[in-house]
Amino acid sequence: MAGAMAISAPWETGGHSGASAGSGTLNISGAPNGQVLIVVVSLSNIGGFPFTVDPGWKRILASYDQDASLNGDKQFAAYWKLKGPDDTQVTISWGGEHHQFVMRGFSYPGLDTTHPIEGVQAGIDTTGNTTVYSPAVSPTLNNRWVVVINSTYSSVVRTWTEEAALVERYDAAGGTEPYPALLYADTNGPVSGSDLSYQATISGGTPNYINQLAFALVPGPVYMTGSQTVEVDQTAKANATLFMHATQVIESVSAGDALQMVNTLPLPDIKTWLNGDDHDADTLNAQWRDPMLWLLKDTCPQLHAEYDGAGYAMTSPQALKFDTVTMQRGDIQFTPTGTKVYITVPGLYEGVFQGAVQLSAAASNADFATEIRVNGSVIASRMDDAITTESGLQTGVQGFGGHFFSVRLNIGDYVEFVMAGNNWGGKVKSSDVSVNSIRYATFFKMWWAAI
Amino acid sequence: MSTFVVPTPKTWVDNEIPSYADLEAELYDPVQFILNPPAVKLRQTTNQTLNNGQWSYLSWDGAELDTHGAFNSAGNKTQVTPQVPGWYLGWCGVAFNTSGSFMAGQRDIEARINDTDSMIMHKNIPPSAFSGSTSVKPAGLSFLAAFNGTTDYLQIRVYQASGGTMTTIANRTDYQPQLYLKWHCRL
Repeated sequence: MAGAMAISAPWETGGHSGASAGSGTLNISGAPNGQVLIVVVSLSNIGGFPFTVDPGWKRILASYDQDASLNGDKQFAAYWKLKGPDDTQVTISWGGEHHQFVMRGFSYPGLDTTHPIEGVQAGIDTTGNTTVYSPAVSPTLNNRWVVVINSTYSSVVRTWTEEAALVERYDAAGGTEPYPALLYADTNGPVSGSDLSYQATISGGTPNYINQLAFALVPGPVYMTGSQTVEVDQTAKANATLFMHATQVIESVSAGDALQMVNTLPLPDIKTWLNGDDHDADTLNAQWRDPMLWLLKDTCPQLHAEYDGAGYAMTSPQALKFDTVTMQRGDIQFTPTGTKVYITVPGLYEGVFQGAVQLSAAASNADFATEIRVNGSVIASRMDDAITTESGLQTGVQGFGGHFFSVRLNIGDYVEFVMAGNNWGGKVKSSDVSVNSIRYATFFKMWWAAI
Repeated sequence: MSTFVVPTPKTWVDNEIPSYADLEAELYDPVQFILNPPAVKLRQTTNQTLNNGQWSYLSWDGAELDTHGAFNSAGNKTQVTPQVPGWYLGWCGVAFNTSGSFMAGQRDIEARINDTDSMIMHKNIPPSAFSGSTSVKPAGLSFLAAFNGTTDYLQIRVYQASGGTMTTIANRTDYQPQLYLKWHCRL
């Protein structure tokens, strides 16, 4: 989905290998905090015990993991964790047996930090072929990357050569016999389709069983500012469900639907505190600083705009143009010289409005009203004024100001500031003039006021 | 220089633990400011003469509310000078007498900053609004205006072209000229 956060090439820990009676410890202190870190380990033989790992690490489950009779459970494993500042190393254990081993970590920017992995598939290739195909993965959306891991052990040093659709991140070989042989590769970009399987060839003749793992990487959400058009390619799916974080609205669309989605800056999401809750910087900023900034109107939507042009002929009803933005805060969309203010944060909005007109000649029984219109036709607020002749007015200029309004608006709604009336007779023009030290101008100021 | 400061929430950094001083500065002060923002409400309680064909600056006789000293009753009583910088949401109202000789002509009501040609808010009330009417005609403005918290002041002025001399109607609370300002957001 265009507009989602993009995954990018991983930061790598550097390989760690050795021989140990039961565990390996990988230094991960250099891995970026707040990013998902994947760590893999491969042994030089099949272990007698299942792997264990430090607390907080999540195993990337594979269908063969729990079957003690199969090699996959005891020759290699992969784990992930959202890396924090206190995570400096990770220890993976295999129960007191002495093995050569290799370990490496991969930290991908842009992954979803809660559910970074989907579609895990595992298998064992027992054919003895040097060219093997990974288990097939079917990503749920076309913005996923695919990771392929092949792992075996050997009496000779072996290297991997993967197909062109993959980028090799780690090809572990070496140490002392017996040698682990680990390939870690990914597609280095989003893929589309289902049942995706990738080929790799191992050197050195007929191999032992090759343990395989493949899974998709899930990108994290992104807060977009400004209105954007998002194309949802769901060719493999009949329907799609979209979540909009700020409003918790769930929109369902069908295949083939054209969709225009506007993302917003999120409203402050206030939590309820519990005993023992941590108050790290991210939490304090999200729960304390950000709501304060919103309540002080530093970050909630607010827009002031005015018309500074030479005037234009008006007919009723006239959606007024504004060519100069004098204040814009938060996410509220307006294009200067346009008439429409687009809403991207739902809520109750308040504002003030003045419209000014100039009459080129006396207009009998003419009247004017200022209106706030939503989505073109809904008149949310109206103030009426009347004029019968031009005499007594200051050079035919009128300012109809002081219109205060409040209106509830949803994402995608647009507001226009309109003047309407009767008997204008082609004599009415928009105004921006100063007469007798009075500024006759057209402007509005509006702001988010409440949920 | 204004002695009142609009709170600015700090950005917390990793491993920072709020101290007692933080709780005062970052929680108590901003919440108090939000719950009790700078505001002033003024009334006119003595009728004021409105001469024909002239602008008259409304003079205020007292404050119902003045949290931060925006109104100086010993100084120029047509001016209100917010002491905390920011944008202020305001409204003002005045009533025009439409009986007898006061039926004709237009009326204007305007909010002005520093008595200049500033685009705060202006409202024309055409003569037809008074035709055939024998009752008092209230009129008002709502506006949003920016003040620097030191020298910027607000005035409300009215214009009438009835042909004769009028007064405001300050002896009834529902017709008394009023002005209200409340802090809205920082500049």
